[in-house]
Amino acid sequence: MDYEAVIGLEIHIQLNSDTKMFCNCPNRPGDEPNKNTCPVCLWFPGAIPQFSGEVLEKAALAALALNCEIQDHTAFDQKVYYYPDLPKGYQLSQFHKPLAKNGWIEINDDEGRPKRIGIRQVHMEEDVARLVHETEGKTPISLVDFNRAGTPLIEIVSEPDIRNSHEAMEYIKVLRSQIRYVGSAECSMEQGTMRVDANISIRPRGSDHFNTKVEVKNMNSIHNVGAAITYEISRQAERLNAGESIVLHTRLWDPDRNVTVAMRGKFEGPCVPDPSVPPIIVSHEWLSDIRSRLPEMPSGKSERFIRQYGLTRDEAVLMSSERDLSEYFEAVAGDAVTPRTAYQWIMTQLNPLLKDYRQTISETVVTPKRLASLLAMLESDVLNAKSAREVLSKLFESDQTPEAIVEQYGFRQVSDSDELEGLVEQVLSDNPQAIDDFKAGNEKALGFLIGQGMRASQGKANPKLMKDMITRKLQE
Amino acid sequence: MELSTLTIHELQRMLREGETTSVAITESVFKRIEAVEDKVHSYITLTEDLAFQQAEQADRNMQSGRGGPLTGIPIALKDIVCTEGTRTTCGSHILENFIPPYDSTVVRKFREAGAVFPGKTNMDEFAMGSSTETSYFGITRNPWDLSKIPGGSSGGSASAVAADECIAAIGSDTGGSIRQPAALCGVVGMKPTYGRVSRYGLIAFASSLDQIGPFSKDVEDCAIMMNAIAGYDPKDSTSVPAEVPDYTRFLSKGIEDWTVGVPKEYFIEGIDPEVLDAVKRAMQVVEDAGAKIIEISLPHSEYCVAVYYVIAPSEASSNLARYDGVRYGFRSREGRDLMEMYKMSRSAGFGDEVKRRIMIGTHSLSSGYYDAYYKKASQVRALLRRDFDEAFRQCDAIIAPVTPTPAFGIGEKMDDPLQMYLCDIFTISCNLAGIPGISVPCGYTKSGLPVGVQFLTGHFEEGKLLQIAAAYERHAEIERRRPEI
Repeated sequence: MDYEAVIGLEIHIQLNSDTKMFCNCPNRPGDEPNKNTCPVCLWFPGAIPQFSGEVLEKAALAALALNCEIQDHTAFDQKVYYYPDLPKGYQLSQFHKPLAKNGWIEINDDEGRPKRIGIRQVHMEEDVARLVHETEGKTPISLVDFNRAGTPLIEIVSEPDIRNSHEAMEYIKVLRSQIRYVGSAECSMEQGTMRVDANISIRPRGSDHFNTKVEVKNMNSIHNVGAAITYEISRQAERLNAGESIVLHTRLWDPDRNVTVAMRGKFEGPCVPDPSVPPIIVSHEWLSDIRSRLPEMPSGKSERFIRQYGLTRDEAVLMSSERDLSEYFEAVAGDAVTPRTAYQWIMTQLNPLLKDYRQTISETVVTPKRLASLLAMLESDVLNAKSAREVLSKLFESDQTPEAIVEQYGFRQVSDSDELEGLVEQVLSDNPQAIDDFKAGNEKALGFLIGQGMRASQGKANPKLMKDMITRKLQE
Repeated sequence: MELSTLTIHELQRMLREGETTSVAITESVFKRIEAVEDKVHSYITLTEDLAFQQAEQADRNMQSGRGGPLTGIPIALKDIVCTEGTRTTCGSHILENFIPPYDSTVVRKFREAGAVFPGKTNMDEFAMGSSTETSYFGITRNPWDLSKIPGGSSGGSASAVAADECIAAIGSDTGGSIRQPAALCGVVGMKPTYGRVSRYGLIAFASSLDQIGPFSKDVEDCAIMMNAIAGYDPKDSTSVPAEVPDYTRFLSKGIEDWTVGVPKEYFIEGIDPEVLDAVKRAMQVVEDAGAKIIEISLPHSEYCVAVYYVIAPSEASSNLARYDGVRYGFRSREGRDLMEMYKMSRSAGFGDEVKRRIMIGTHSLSSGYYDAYYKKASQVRALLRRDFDEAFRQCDAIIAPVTPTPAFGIGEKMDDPLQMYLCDIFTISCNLAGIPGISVPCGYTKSGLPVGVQFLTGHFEEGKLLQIAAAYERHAEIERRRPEI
């Protein structure tokens, strides 16, 4: 039978606020264990949560980036269960009154056509502590690190609009780009600041019925989400074809074996309104203030890049996919540097060096100003491309200006024909064979002679001038 | 005259005029504690060393002119407010050895005001009870009759004030836990508006109902205590940033031309006739003081106990989920795995009444019952609140009984939780509505047990509440007896 998958994603994202959600402890889970704790996030008797305004703003910005409607009246609920990673026996989350509803983002389906994926809701919840099990040694022990306890998360619940792995991976990429744009989160699956759970069911193609779903967890990269969905769809199809039925349960992705395995069911306690955090009433003024802080988003920006800078659609989408990158690009492309040069140098020269030096585009020592100065010299023939690449490498090692490096190392391009005259004469007199070859109709000999000329100039000659001078001499 | 028998305002005058010292007051209080504590058992933990250090500091501050209204005054703390460095048990085995690393906001305020802490008072376990009989640390006896209960849950604070084992005290009131023991022990006890006093550091029972308030020997002291503890606290986001007036300014104002409502639903069958008589006499006093008495209706009153016993246990069941033996408090050593450790720690760590309420609460919240219990109770709670809003359109204050009976015998209701729950029938609705209420002594039964009368006002009208309480106290001229222990 021909099946179609129905997939909804639940994505947890750790917000990058300065403090935790309900106390003033720093939101730095990676610090020395249990350093960032207080009576509130350890939930000592008598402690009362104080909901952070900064967390609300970051969460609301993220929800707006996903085209959601912020709700006027939202509140926290207690999700009750017992586990040592949860210091008070319940997690503060939003169930009855989530922060935002009815959003969407647009992706390209596997045939490149635009498709909207609906977002049912975005709600806030606190993260739990980290457990470390030391099983070596005589007495195995379990340790709890509360640095992560109470750090802010948002959970983004999609509508079941996704049909295959491609769409799921596209959805995650677009969603990640949108949320990074508003600066609310880093969204790294590898580092655990973005966690994706997939609800998957299948049905005969053409049916509009929702069948029993299976939840799949533990995918720690976008690639794994795609692989797990593909695997799970074929697993469910095999089961149905074998006449079995699908039961509601949770499975874990095993990245070593590339399969999903059933997980033991866990106790789900009640979810009740929390009386200690007052309901959040969102005013019109507050919301318009948050809205005014939304930056130009990727889709609008890429359209503008096409119009304003003449980039192709693919280039524009790439340049606007990350806010830092797009801002870097715009800071380089200007009067003295054509957008195309800026684009090409960022993509082909700067990016590989950033990887080598482990720097990010927003923090690199090669500021947009320094790169722009360098590329301006390239475009005004002060130096050639080869020299420009060398100067770029040196920019990572020195805090000199590109101009100073050009002077210090003598990278300045020789564009003076008088200076090159003697050099050209020398090359021609050293290579009579090549001249004969050229005159016999071998075009390659010209290239050889230019190469010799460039080498004799130690790479500093203006290649175009060199070519012109040699060609002229040969035709004399 | 023993210093321990005096009020805050009397002692303050003496301290200011150099007639006595905080050390002398503290000595007097500890002498009294030594004499009666074996019989009454008001305290779980005595902090004598701390008290004398504070007293000496207070005397130095008074001498250098840095004293305030509470400087050098011994104030007992219900063992439900966290005290940095002093164990805070909440009357429970599960917190027997819990020493908080921080002060609750009220405790911090008292420390800054220069108060002296003689100790932490006994209470029903996790404030669940009306008799102080569910404490893991033993019962407290009523100073007026040692065979009777002192009320609860703040029974230790009430008895400590009544027996002069402190000058004033702090309690907490979730369904009557200040006003009911105050009435049964013949002292003044007030539950402020929800949000008036910071709950930060108050070990939560039912977070939407709990409120900290004072016990004192008279209404003036109550106002002085309120001045010290009221106010917004950023650490408790349910506390309200409303202006706090000087409450002592209301004491002498009188209630001429006030209208005082008598809720007809509160005069039900089953009220002890002596209590009824005392409250009716109090109504007469209020009228004599110049107020007009009218009958009002609080039509949903009959549901208040039912609503309370859904909402309070529901909130308690999640508030008490943190006592799991993992981070602090009692942990059973016998569990072989995590689930057993949880179960055995909680089974051994909590008493029967606490377990009963956790079960009621868990049941009310469980899926399938949530709508029928918790949600319905929340809806009725809104109606109860509206009853009061309507009532306060007709009157300035409400007068009512505090308890249906005077103090009952020790053990009398322990096997009948329903009878125990009905002790709070007149006090619960005030918590559900969030309004302030005060219990003021209004006489004695023939056998010499104290009786209290309750006044209620609208949200954040503690000033008016103290105004009518003080006017009543002044006009009633209730004989000031002392319990003979």
